[in-house]
Amino acid sequence: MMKDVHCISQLSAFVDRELPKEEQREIAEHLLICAECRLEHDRLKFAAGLASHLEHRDAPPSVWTAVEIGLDGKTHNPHGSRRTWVRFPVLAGFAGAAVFLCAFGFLAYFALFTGEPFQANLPANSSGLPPRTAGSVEPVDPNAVPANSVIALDPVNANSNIAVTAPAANAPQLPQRQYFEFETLAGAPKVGSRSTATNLVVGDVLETDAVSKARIEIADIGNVEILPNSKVKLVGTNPKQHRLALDRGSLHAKISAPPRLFFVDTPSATAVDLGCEYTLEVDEKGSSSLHVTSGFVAMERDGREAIVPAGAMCLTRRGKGLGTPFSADTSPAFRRALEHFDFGGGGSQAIDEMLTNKNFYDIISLWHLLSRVKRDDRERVFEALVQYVRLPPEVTKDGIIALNRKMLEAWREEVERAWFE
Amino acid sequence: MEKRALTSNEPTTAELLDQCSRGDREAMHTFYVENQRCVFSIALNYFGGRREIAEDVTQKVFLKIFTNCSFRGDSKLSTWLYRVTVNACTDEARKLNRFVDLAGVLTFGEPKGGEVQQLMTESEEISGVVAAQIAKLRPKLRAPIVLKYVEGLSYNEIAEVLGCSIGTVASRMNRGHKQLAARLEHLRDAI
Repeated sequence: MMKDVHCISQLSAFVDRELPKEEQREIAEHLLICAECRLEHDRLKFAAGLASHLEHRDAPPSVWTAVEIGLDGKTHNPHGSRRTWVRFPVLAGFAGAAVFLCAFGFLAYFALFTGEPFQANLPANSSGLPPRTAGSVEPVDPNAVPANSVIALDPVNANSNIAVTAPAANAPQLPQRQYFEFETLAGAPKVGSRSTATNLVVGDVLETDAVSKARIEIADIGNVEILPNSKVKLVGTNPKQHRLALDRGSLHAKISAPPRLFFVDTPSATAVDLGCEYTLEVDEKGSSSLHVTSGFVAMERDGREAIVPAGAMCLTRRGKGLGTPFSADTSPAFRRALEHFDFGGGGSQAIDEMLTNKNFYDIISLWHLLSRVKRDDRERVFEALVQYVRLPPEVTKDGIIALNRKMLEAWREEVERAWFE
Repeated sequence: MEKRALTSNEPTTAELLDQCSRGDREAMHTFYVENQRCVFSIALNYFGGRREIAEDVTQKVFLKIFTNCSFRGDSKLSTWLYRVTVNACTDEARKLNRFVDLAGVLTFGEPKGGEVQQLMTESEEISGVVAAQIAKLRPKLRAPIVLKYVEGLSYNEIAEVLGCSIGTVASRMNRGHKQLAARLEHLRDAI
């Protein structure tokens, strides 16, 4: 499987989306678990992003004139006298060298045959440089803020609303769209007080009522359907990330892009696209529910992360953080027990309920629980999971109970394989 | 490219090229108008935004097509035109390398660190900076990157133009991306 093998040699093709769909998916999955490849991927993607700024331009009219003259059998240079075999700068260089040699010979002659050092009649400015004029270039103050500085979205500041910051001095002004287009699917969605808008500019809030729906085009990477009774804000968009904030309601995102390009902030966590399709809901209290239907999504909060694969869900509660991912097909009893454990302080009692009601689909939750439960409960969770997913040869029970990182990683791959199979 | 013959009155591209080879100046102009942007853009980015060289290359490409057309119809016209253009760029680059460009050595040299930032601020054109760095790549790495990002060709199409395998294109793209990333690393924070 691709997941086990570095894929550095294929990363350009991956970034350029030149691989078959299956290989694209395998590499995307590998990137989730391999920091080395992910780092290389980020570098290549950065280079590819810059290269996509290359310009397309029309040739000036003089070129056609030159072609016509060439066709008539005459030689013609569309831009004057540039095309000389030895160009002016070359001649200037040779001339300079010749002058230098003559001067050197002259000085040598004086020194050797007159016995006196040569004294040139220098001007008052003894540096020999021409005097500074009004048009001369002054030294640049490195701390001066250039006049063309722009205020740009800070792409690093997660969970921000419109975080703005002055960019580094000398930062270039990039040609980029600061808005998304959207279309009305039903009713009359509103952007601020504008009910006829078709663009969502950075900072704009789009609201739908009980009967309205809209679809936002997320640059060229996919789209997001805003479902009824929702309120969503465009936090920022640039080549490195596109960010929405869902304050309440629901959205359905369909994204086809390299991981970590599209983010949705909610009051209780951030959904990070890892190449996927998902539905995200936020209730009036700011708690959220994520259901992934394709690929992977990472839910993040305060440095913690839960990777949620296709077919799984994840809940978050405002003030209580991230819940444990669980199968969308799990039994109501298992789900109740898991919510009790995650948000109700259920502890060992909730684990008992889960283990009583578990089935194969709960391997995703059991895996996450290994590192979330107390050591006393971990062995029980281990025994439950090993019923469904075999231990790789290099992994031991003691290693898992001790939360040995390498062993956990090796078993996780088995869990993931079993999940997708 | 190759968008002709949408109506029955218009000649196909092959017919147009045939008319060109028989000296029909109007057909030549039509062909030029349809294809000059692609040829000029490839040359412009291949030579790091140096317009004079790009104009020369464009002129040579069309003169070659009109006076000594080698299109045999065994590939798509666009593939053939890209190939002629890339070959003309390669030839021109070889000629330029025959003598040292004293203009570059004496006036600019290799901009480093803050100088690059300063140059960028002056030009306010990131594409110019990127093109300048692409022009420093070896021709083998430069051509596929220009074809990919200027013309939007797939690896398969690039392989056809360059007469190599897709694997070779992927490998060259990988090396080109790596070198570009290293040379443009200083832009990361700025962007």
